[in-house]
Amino acid sequence: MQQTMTGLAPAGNGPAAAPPARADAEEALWLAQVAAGDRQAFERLYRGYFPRLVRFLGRMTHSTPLIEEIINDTMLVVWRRAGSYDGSSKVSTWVFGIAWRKAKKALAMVDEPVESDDAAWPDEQPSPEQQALADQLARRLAGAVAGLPWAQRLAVVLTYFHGMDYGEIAAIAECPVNTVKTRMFHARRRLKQLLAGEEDDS
Amino acid sequence: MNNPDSHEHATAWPLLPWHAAGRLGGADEAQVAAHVRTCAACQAELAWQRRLHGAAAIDREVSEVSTPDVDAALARLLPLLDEPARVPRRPARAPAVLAALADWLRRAPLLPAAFALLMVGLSVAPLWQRDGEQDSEQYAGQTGGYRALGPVPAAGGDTAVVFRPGTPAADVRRILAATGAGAVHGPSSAGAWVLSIGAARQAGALARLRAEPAVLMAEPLEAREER
Repeated sequence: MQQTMTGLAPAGNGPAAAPPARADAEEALWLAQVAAGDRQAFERLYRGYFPRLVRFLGRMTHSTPLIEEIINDTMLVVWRRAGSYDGSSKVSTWVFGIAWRKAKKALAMVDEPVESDDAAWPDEQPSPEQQALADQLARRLAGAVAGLPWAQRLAVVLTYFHGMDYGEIAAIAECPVNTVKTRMFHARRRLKQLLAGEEDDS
Repeated sequence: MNNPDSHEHATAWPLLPWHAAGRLGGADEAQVAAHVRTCAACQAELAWQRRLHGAAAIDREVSEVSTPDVDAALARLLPLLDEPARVPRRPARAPAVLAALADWLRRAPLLPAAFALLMVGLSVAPLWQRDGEQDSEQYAGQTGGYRALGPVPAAGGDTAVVFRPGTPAADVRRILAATGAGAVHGPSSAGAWVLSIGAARQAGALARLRAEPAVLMAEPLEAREER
């Protein structure tokens, strides 16, 4: 998997790395090339966004074929509508917004959570390292996120797993900024309930 | 000022997740940082938020183990880049409905043009709406872009053609061109085309159309009477 693109978090326990401005400018250049019909630029963009979109969509569904389909639907729109990108948002905001709309349609989202996500993690014996407290929280967080209603889940996933700010989330969710803040407020309370006991180890 | 009821606290608290990630802009950041310095509750919450961010980072590493294959997915997408936007990519869910409709229409060979189009439109249109990205021109031919075929051409569209879902645009063009039609209208929201072929060529054109596997239905339309 290429690591040349933005958005891939460094190893370690820091918050998700926000794409640096230079990388975003690079993506905007590629997008302009795509608008001119440059397929190699499209492939660069595709390969760069693929793992990010897998992570994003993996929070909404476990079906690998469906994830692929949504990604391809999204990138097909990117191919066809590259000329409509006007630079008023980051490229990542634009692409994630398309992906979210596609995901909503594909998953026919009503405002109810799917069942808790125990299958998110590979089914293997945890190593000694994986017994560490931080890993336990990571496991439980993945499951807890799956217990959130879609709108809250989107805000949580984009904040913690993709390092986005509330402005980007509002653009992707196509809602006011205050709505994002409200959703996060409620999502955080819900997460604390679902992660009961973890917080005491702070 | 360690007052949890204060306005500063009510403003800062919702922003803590982004403050913990360093994702707040100037005014927000200054405001939250100033408040957190004097608020024990926010300091505790901030520590918790940092743990959540850390946990999400670990999850990122683990989940990268089993991702779908990018090469295979890209290979599936590349052929679609060539397709122009208008022809639907995805097969309709119920081709049986279309086949049944085609059968019915075959048994009633001469239909008033408007009626035939209405029947095709009503029966078939819902099958084509699954992926109408309304703001994307690529679906203009499928759903919102052609809500109705419009008035039947005054010159008399005399043939209705419906293609199998997923027929590549190039094939559609080739097949329609081979009819020698003087005018072609469509596609409607139902994916129907109306051609003006003319009486002399119609029989031959219908035979050729029906011989095409991609053509689901080709029917003559009764010319509308001039009033």
